[in-house]
Amino acid sequence: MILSKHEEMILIAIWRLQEDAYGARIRNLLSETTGKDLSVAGLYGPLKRLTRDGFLSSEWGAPTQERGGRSKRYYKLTPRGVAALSEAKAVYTSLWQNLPELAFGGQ
Amino acid sequence: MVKRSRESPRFSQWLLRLVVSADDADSVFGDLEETFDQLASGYDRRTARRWYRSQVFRSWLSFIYFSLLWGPVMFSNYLKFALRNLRKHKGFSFINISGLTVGMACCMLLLLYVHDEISYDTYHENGDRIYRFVDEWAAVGPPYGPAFADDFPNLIDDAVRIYIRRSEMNVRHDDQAFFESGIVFADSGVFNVFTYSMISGDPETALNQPNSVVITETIARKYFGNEDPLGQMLQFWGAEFEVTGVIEDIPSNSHLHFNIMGSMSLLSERAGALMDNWDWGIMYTYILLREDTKIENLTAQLPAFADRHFNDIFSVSAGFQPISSIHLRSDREKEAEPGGNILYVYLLTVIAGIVLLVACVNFTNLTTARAVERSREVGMRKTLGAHRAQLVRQFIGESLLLSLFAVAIAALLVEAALPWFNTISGKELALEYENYIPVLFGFLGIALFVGLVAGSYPAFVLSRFRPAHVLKSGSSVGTTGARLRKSLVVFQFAVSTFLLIGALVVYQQLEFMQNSELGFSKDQVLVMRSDDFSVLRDALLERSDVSNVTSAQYTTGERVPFFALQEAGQPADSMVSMRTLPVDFDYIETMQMEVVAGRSFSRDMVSDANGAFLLNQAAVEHFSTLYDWTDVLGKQLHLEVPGAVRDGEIVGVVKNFNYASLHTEVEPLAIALWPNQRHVFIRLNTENLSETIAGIRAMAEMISPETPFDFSFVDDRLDRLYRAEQRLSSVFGAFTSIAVLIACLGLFGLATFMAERRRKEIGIRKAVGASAWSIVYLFSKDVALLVAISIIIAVPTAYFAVDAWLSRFAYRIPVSAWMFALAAFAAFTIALLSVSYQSMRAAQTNPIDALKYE
Repeated sequence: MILSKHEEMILIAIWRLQEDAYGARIRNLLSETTGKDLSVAGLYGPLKRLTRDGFLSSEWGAPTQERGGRSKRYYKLTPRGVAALSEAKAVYTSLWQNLPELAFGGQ
Repeated sequence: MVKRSRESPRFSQWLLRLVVSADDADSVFGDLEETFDQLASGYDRRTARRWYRSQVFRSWLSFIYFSLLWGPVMFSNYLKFALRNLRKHKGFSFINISGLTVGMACCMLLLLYVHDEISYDTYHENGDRIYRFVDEWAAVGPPYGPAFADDFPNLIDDAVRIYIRRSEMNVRHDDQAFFESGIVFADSGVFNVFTYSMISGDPETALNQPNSVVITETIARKYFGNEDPLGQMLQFWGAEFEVTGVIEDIPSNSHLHFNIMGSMSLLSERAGALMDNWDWGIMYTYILLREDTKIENLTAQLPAFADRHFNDIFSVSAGFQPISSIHLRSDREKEAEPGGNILYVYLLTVIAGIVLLVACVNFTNLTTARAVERSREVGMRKTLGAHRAQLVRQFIGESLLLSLFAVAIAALLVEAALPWFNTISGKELALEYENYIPVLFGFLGIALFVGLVAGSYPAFVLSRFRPAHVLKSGSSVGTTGARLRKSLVVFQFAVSTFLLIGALVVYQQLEFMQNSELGFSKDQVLVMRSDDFSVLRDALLERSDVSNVTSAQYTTGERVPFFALQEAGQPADSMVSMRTLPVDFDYIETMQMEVVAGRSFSRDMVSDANGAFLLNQAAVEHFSTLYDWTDVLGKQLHLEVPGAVRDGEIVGVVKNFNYASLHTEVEPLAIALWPNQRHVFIRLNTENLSETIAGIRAMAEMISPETPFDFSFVDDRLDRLYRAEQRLSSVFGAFTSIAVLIACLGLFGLATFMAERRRKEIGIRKAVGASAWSIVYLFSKDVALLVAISIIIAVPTAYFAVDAWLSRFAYRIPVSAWMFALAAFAAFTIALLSVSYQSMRAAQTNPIDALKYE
């Protein structure tokens, strides 16, 4: 697998957020979806490795007041990133397809 | 207006900032801020703050892990970027690196030299317990050694004496015969005290027998080839000796060298009663202190010792010297070998530091100037929001790269230069990395430090400016640090001028000493050894290219020893110690000395044959005061040397001549007529030196076939007295040139930038009609002013230094203005030349080229 589950979720989040895909937004979306408060480190580590390995590209945006004058970094999926996601999805789909009923002892 | 994050926890922020990389800082903190605000308005501040802190707590370690993980990758990126930049500005980079490299290499060489000088005699295992006993002279009478050993067994483990045979002896084994210097005699305990690695033989017993001898490896190879030397025989000094040991050659960093060591017991046999003479100062006496005591305890016993043995007191200069201090700090009469001088060591260390400082200053200067040019680049980057930290890191990274590169090349340079340096310094230095690990780390550290300082100065200064301000061409950014740069240039040229003056003075003094009127004529006088003087003399005088021949017991430049002398008939306690030179007839004439009263020795005077004396003027003064003479001629003198006496009349007075080096005033000297001495002086009168020498050699070999023909010239021997000064002159000369070179490189680099930066200004000037010369004048004017300031600083400093150095010589050159003027002129010329290339080029600029990019 090229992508871990965590990384996969980040990529999908970025996909979903489109133009608005920067750190805080991504983290919020993921926190809401999983119900767990993701730490900044848990986001930035994977973001970095994904960028380095070519699944994501980034650019600097403009500084804003809410951020105390700091700029945001916007992320975008690269074609490679898209391909990786598709592959991941295909793998899951084939794994989940046609699973037999689960029988538990006593039932 | 920028909203301050007053509400988010400051401490946590600070904590996190420590571990987050500069790249990510904006994103991470911005995100945290955003979410914090949302929480604060959605819930309350306390919740928000609590969340913030928990985030920091959870992420802290991970960020450290990230920076470790991604660190090397970031580093290699910076490396690539820095290399690319270097290649873009090849010329500048080359100048910058070479200046720093040369400076470091010089510093390394000088430090190697200094390290060698201070390491003399440190190789002895017991080194910290070995002391030499001295009084006014470095060598003392024979009884001291044994007396110390007998009187202080609780303080001293061993006491040994070493006697150095000053003149060469003919040494022979079978058909191998050579004149050897470096023959010593020592007590048998010598190997307990000193560490002379014995290759074969038993150190305990090697020198027990009077006819035993220990030789060095080189001697062993010379006389015995590959055979085992042990048990073989050597003949010299009229006796047969058995080789009882072979030791490694004495290391160069020793205060006392020898090739052949005989046993003191032989000397005792031959010298007889003189061995009990406390005043016969010929033994170098060393003691090995016991481990459980200190030297002060022994020194405290000295007054009692003096009282006990000779009912007198020691002079103030008597005492014990630690062996490792002898080479640099002991400069008494009769030192074993000419030593170094601790002053020169300090001086060279200071020079090493200065050269390094100048090079580093240069490097910083050039790097800063270059950064000015890239100020535009900085401006653009800031508008894109790049971080100041990033810029700083880029600048620092580049200059670190350059400085580390410079260190590596400097080490290579040192390796390459060592053979040459060893020749001019007379040492055998080598860059042994294992021994110098701390020093190498030191240099690495210096390189890092210089790289950091040179890189961060422009980075911090420039990255503080507003982008719009910087984007405007030229602007005041160019003048920032101009004052610093100018003062750096002034410093470099002041140092260079100082060194130039120093080099000139040292050279002049050396020339003076080598060429000054010595009171005799030293040119074209050949000296050789012979045991058959009279036969040789007759043969030589037949030659047309020989004008005079004589002999003497000591050659010029050799120390003339003291002997006991007094007026005949006076009581024995009025004996004085005076330097006495035994010579043959014609000595005065051959050496062309001047007789100011009476006459020289003459074969026609029958009375001379039994003994006669000449005194130099200083001796006359000395005796006249001592014996209350009104006139000198005709007085009878009584001379005692080991094994003989001589009585004779004073027949003449010789004008004072410098028979020792010009460091000292002329001392009283008595010249005793004592024919057939072993050093033959031949005054030549020839155009073809090599032919004459060949002819004399043939003659000598015919007359004394077993004696090897060994010759030298008087003027060469005298030059050797000034070896220390000669070395100083060479070293000074070399490093002055280098310091000047570095200063020029710096100035040249700076001029390049000035020219570049002021291109438009020049273009405009030319467009409105300025001539090429006025442009050159413009450039040169600034530089000339800086150099003038340097000179004003350098000249008084140099004057004091030079005056202090010259006061060490009894005969010295006057400190004259022309030396300072010459150095100043040289500094000016060099500076202007360095700048002129760039100013010429700038003056040639076509105004259109300069202005078209406006």
